Amino acid sequence: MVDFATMIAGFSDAFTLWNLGFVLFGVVVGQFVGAVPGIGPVMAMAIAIPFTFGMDPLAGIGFLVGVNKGGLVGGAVPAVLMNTPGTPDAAATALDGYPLSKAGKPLKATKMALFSSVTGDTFSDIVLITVSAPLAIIALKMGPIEIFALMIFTFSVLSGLIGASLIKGIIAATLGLLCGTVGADPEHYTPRLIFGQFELYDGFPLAAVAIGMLAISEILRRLAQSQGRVRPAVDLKDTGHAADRRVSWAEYWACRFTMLRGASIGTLLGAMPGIGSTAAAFMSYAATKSASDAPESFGKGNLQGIAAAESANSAVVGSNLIPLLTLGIPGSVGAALIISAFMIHGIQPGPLLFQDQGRLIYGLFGAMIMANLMNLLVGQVGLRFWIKVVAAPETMIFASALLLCIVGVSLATGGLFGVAVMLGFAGLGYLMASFGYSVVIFIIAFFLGPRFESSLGQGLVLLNGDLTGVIYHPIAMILLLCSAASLVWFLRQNQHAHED
Amino acid sequence: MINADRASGLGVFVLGLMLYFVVIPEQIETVDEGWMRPNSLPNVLALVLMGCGLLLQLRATAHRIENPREMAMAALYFVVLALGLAAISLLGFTYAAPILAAAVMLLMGERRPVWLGLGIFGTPLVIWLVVEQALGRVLP
Repeated sequence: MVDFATMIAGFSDAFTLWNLGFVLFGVVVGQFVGAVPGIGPVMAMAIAIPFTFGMDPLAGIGFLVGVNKGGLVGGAVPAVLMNTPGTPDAAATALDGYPLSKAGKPLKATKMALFSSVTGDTFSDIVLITVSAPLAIIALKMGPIEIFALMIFTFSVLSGLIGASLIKGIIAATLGLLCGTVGADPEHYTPRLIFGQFELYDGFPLAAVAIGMLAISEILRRLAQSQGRVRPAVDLKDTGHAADRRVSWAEYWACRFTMLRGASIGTLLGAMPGIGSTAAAFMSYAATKSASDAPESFGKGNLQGIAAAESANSAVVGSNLIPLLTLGIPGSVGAALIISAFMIHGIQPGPLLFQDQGRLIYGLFGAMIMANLMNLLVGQVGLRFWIKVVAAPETMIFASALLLCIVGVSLATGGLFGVAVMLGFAGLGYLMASFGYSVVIFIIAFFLGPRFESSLGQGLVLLNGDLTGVIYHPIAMILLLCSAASLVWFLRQNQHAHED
Repeated sequence: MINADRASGLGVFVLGLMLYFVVIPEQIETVDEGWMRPNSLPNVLALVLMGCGLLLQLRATAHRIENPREMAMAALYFVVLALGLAAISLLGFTYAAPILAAAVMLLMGERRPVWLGLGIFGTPLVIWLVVEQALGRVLP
């Protein structure tokens, strides 16, 4: 599918000084914002996307990959120091990281998080590079009927897995699909639901929706929660021993099986849509604790606990891109944001990506591997500084983030109309999160909406309008049956939770 | 304490109803050809919303709005942002951004002059340098 020369050319593109500079910049920004409680890598990526508009595609996407990967490392810093994870993924890291920090070893805890994060991430990147091209060949054999069935399956799994209620998950997906129908209809090109606003003829701008729902709504929540109270400074203890400020090779090596287990769990879960890195981190933590000879030491500053959580949550990042690159279906919000960056640069994700943009994809793989290496190097030097970042005032951080969002969306959409759309979606995102509806499902459904409709339209043409003809498409039938089975299973799970 | 699911389920049901009977017929042109008409998918989605809104009345979870005061504060910040956007469209980003930053920081309780100065003047200045000078793009 992709010849060896294209692979080499792609990798060599990633190693140019210009592209490496953007990956490095992304890692630094990611680690910095990850260390700020409340601004995780997803919010940072959402804000950064419009600024990649003028960049070369590989530089822009490499920068975003750097932000994403760096954010996971940075997210462990407030988790370890303040028991306040910068990202939800780092919540499991706090279980052992915070006690270790309280015992006067904050640098040891953050360094263990860094090393295990880079190990897990590299493992999953290698899996991604190995399996995605063969999977894309299989995906190319799927027609619109199979793609439609696959999207139904994705929505049913996402609706059931994310949040406490299947019905609310379906509502979030439906609202996302509905917002995706705004603009010109794909078959007849007549305007739909635009209320006389011809700026909406191409639909809601993705950058405005993503930044409004992910960044501004979260900033609104944090602003409302602060209620005039400025966060107190963090008081760090230090034992003064050099051994307590580093992780020795023996300590790292002792965690090798834990990291391998965590990386495997993270990679497996990351390849499935919707499960996410938080679940992977807790699952890996629980598996490591149950396999340990001294389970009572967990939660009291055990390095194995940090290694288990961080290797798993970071491994999700690479494997999240497997469904994205092979099928064009994002399994998480981070992946949806990377896909929107692809689209900003005029690249349509999906199985044809390897055929049409093979060089770019292998450039992206090269950038991912380099981002891991840079994460390690930047983390070694930067952790001392990121520890100071957690003490920065939220007032300054959130005011700056708001201004950046306004400027970013205005640049991406070409005016203030996009900013008004962003504000509207920020309100919707805030309300949805407050009432327990998943914003993640909404964004993925909004993103997939146009493709969902065009696959359905093409499928109906192929079936001549007779839906029963789907039985002659075995892959689609299996996927639809799996969707029905998963919906029944999730409904029963909800029923048990309701009864309890 | 408000039962969030029943309240939002009712809202979703009314939204679906309005979409199906008022908004979609008004805002989508009727086309009589093709398997997929412009209103086909929106109509199906409106029906799903109605169905799920009703189902949520029957199968509400224990989710509750714990802190209505927090929602009121969020609404206040939302209004500040909307006013900030209006100010940007009237005065331009360069003049309106410091006012917006000042309003947000003061509402959050920031009173330290150094941080206020950095937020109100430093951040807009850095944005102006990056966007207009380095990237060569025009601020709103």
